[in-house]
Amino acid sequence: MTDFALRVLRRARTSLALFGYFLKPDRFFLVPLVVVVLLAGALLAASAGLSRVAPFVYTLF
Amino acid sequence: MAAVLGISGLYHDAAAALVVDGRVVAAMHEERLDRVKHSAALPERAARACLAMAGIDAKALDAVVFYEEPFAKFERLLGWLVQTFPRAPSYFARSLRQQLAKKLWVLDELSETLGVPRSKVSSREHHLCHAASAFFVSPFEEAAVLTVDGVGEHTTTAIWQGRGATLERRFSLEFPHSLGLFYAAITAYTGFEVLDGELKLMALAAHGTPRYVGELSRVLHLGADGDFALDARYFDAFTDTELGFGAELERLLGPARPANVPWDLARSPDDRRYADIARSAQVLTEEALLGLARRARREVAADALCLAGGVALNCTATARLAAEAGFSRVFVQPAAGDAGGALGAAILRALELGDPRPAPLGSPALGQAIDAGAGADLAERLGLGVSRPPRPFERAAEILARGGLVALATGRGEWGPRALGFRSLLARADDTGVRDAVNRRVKGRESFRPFAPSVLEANADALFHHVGADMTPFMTTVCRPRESALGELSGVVHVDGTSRLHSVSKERAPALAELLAEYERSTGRRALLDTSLNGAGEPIAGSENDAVAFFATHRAVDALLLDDVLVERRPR
Amino acid sequence: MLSVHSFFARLFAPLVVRDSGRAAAMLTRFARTELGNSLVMRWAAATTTSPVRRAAYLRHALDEERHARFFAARARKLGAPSRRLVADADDVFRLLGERRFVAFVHRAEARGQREFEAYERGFRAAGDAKTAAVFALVLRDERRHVEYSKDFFAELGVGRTTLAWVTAWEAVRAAQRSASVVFGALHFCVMLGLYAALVPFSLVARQRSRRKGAREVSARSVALFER
Repeated sequence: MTDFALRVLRRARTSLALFGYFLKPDRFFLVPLVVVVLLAGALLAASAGLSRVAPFVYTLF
Repeated sequence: MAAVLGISGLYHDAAAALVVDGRVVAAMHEERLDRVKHSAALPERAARACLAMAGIDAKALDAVVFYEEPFAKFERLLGWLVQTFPRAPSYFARSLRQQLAKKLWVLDELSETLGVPRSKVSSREHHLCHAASAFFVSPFEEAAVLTVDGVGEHTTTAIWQGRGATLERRFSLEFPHSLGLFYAAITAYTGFEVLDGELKLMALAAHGTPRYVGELSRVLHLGADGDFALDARYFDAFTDTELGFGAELERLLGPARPANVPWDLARSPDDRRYADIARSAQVLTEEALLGLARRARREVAADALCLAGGVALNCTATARLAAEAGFSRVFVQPAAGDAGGALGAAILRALELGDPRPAPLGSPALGQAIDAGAGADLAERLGLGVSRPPRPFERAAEILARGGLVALATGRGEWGPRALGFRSLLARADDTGVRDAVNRRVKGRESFRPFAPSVLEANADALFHHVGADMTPFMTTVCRPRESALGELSGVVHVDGTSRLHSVSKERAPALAELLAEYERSTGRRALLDTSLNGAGEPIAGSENDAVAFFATHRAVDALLLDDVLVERRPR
Repeated sequence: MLSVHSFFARLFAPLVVRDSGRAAAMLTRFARTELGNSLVMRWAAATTTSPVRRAAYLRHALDEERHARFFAARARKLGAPSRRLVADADDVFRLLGERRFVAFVHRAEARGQREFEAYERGFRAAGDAKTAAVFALVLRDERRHVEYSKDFFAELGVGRTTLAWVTAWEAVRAAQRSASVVFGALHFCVMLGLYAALVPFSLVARQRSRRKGAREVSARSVALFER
């Protein structure tokens, strides 16, 4: 299995654990919000690991 | 018999600490290696450096422990955003983005980055890590422990009973009622950068009078019995790293000070007003801490107090606690802020795995050692003059005596944000002209900020009313000089008549002790101005590379001592 | 891809050069880039095993720090707000290994040299001799950087293949950065929608906290006020 796939799998497992953490009486009402937030998080995966400013690249604008 | 790596990171002051068989073997700040001040990275470099220092492989680790519970933190963040809706959409977006990009997955990241099985990676509660970082390396078998910071997961303040190898929580306060966030808000209001500027606010406070305690008491209500509350009306948003003080605070205190405007306390009435506000905030914070400490004295029948959490770095406050809280001894370890959480986390897990409690903290030199040979080679290649004089400290003392500046980079780097004789810039302590030159030409700090002295332990009582002797080896408190000593200390006494004394012993800081002794032998003076080995805006030097780079860049420094190697400038 | 960027940079330089506001913003960005470069070089100096190259990388790092100060100072003179520069960079040495790293530095500095020469000419033509002088100062160092990095080619085995590899790598990174901008925008839209979704949760939360009751703190602070 590729490194990338393993990474995704591990984070999926952590997401499930997070989901489970919220399945408690006083946190229960936040569960749908957590699910939506996690889905939004999937979109961030593509930009992971790059610094904000590219070294040795002088942008004009 | 376990090897445990503790990690703090992703917020600010990332660090790693390694405890092997119950001994603190190594501890390093990430910023010393990645050269980003207050680095908020995942401290991979520091972690690897700690492992290298101990000569063990990551695979040999029994546990890796993170200093905060990611899920609990996320829960509080989400809950708070929901409660404060519809205010502060930008904080919302930024906080959630950080959680989703990195913070929720920190345990997985640690496992992958270090190559340690995920089952060995865990987290512990933030304030418990703070408490452990102080109590378990303190000289006390029993103590009250007070942890005060911005916020962990939910807790901002806690009182613990420390006994042997256990810590028991006795009292806590929760977000948003936080002394750390209150102080940070006033720091931001005064135009300083949060998490970096609190020390500046504390220095500024000494220049003011507490005319605004009444107004600020509306923001921070002090209750009976150590309790306190922040009034949410004065804040727009609460997250752990960003505190949006609102328009209401400006209505109360006047307009906030813009950032990066030069200070002029002598001629600007506005700047004096900010100094008064700073002083008032400082007074209120001290009163709050005293209330908590007195409560701790009642709750925990112990004669000693340990402090940790970012607020414990407020050395003016710790001096008041030492004098007024009713404890006979007070201890604050050098990395009292978030970096210390790494050490606390590691010790907690080591204790769980059956290892004994570590010995009391001796020397703060827990970082990477200088390679003087490599440094000498580098210095030569950069066109500097390198020599190995038979008596290097004599030469250094000579330079200091005539008002020169000497950089000292020796042994292993310090744990904590203060220079404690391993990565120091030294100058004579009795000359305000020299002090100003240090500031103008090297440190570039605001003129209202003081410099601190290093003094041999044996001389501390003669020069100072030496209170807080458990703290002065780590520069975590302030003392008053004796009248008779003021002449020797004119460059290192703050406007309020205190100095952040560094009491130096041969056991804890051998090189600096020897240099101080040599300096006293040749000049009769017993104190040196001791500031950290770095220029403006950069972290303290870590390796010989950093020390040589610092020396090459700052022409005002006359010499650099790398262990016994003397680096000077070649005559043109 | 980056030589294309370089071409367009030189094409559009006059737009920036004639507007001191845009020039100030550009110089601030350059200062930030230089600071990032210095981090990259410091990390390289800390990691290489060769004493000769360590000294060279560190010298380069100190040059970049000096450039950052020059650009930031000039930007402030042109009206940029005074703000502490925060650096951020990828550990290129670790990502590429030393051989490809040196090739990367050489190509990047050569590209930077061409661009800065264009800016120097542009600012001089627009009558801003002081900003042109800053570029002239920086260029002195850039030319040395291009030379010293090339001097290491032989001992590290840098040839045409390595240079081609590095070109391709830079192109991929540039594409990744562009993609992450798109994903960032998408993420922003989702967050906006999420924010709207908070309304029902907020109402539930308020009800629950009302039921729990607000915390009272006795007014010891009032006593302080009256002191």
